[in-house]
Amino acid sequence: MHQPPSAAELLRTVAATLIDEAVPALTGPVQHRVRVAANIIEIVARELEFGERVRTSESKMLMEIAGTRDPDEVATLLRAGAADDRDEHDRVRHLLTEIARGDLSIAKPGYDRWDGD
Amino acid sequence: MDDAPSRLATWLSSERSTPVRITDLAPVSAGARRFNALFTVHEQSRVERMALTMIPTAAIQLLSVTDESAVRGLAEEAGVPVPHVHHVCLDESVLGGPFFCSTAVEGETVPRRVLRLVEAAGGDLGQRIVTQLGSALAQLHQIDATRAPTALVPDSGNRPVAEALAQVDQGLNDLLSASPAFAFCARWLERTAPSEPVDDTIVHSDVRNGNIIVGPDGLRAILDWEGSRLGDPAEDLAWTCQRMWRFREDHLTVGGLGSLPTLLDAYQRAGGAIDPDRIRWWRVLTTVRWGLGMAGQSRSHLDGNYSSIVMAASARRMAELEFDALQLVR
Repeated sequence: MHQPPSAAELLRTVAATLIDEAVPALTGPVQHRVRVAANIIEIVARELEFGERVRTSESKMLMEIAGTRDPDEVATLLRAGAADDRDEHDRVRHLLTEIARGDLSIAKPGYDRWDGD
Repeated sequence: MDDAPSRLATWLSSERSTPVRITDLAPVSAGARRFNALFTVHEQSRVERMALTMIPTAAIQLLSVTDESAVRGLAEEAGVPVPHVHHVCLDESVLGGPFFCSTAVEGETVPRRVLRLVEAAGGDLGQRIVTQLGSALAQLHQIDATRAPTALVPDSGNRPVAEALAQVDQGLNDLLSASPAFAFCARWLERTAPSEPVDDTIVHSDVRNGNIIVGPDGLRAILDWEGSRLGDPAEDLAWTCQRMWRFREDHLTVGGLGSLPTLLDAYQRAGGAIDPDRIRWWRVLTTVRWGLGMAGQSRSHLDGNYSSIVMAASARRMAELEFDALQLVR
């Protein structure tokens, strides 16, 4: 058992140091790569915090979509036309959107605030 | 390339049969595929600013500099704003790769700066740029495609719809972990696919905020013609609408600059014909294709073909494109 900060909190400190201290001291391609590095660290921090919850809810929704938790099987079924029917298309589209929202809550929070045009 | 200015000067002098001097050669961007620089040519008392576009190695080129210059020439002739190409050099010994020199057009190209300029100008500059883009695309698409260099004709002939669908399926198969969202979209794309375009049309394939030069007066040039080929004109219109070209100005569909109806009105007024369903289809197709491309970049990182932190991060961006595509397949 370790004392806080948690792994995610430590990573956030690293990201903040990169953004607040390293980025202003750099220029050009290296500055860009360090920004990307800070972004990756923030993604990993969110993955540590929310990953399990997101994966659990993803499995549940895959199950709802096609009766299996295996993304490969769900993809194969959908590619073959399992959701061609109008109502089924809407239902599945909604569930897939929720799965994407889960991934975005880790990869890019806020990106899902958009109604699509 | 410390001696690039003098090598370029020697070559240009012989091209022009008169001695020239080169000063202020400075790189403006260096992508993986091309090297772009600006420089000043002094010929007697005359001074011109020019742009240099070099392909570091002909092995990775989409179009040869000769073919790209020919397309630019056709577009220019049709009234599309394109920086005029003055010189083409195929001799790789001059600068290390084939290159061409074109008129340097003043203005902003970096998307966020373009958007800042539009914001600072107030009024309708953004809508004006979109209107000009619509007219320019209509002019491009009305070029007699029989005049296109043969390199623009895809290997399989001009079947952009079938080719794009096959590419998507290839991308799905190449994924290291399945994407039910893209599988769902691929099926939608397949069952709603439009017919192949009847006419051959030259398309640019990468018109967007980021490949244009803009000034306070509006659109000054469309850049980066290396992806031009025969294709579906609706793809060019659709590509301008990608959410990633809006740079957070999500409510302005075309590059964060203006609305899609504005683009389409201008396109029609300049003689272009549109089919909204076809455009919608290409918006989905290009979104899915881009997302699969993101995953492909990370695979290149993982297999060591192109190791880079930027490529490594790409696969995590796929969810953005999954989300966008799902919004569009209603």
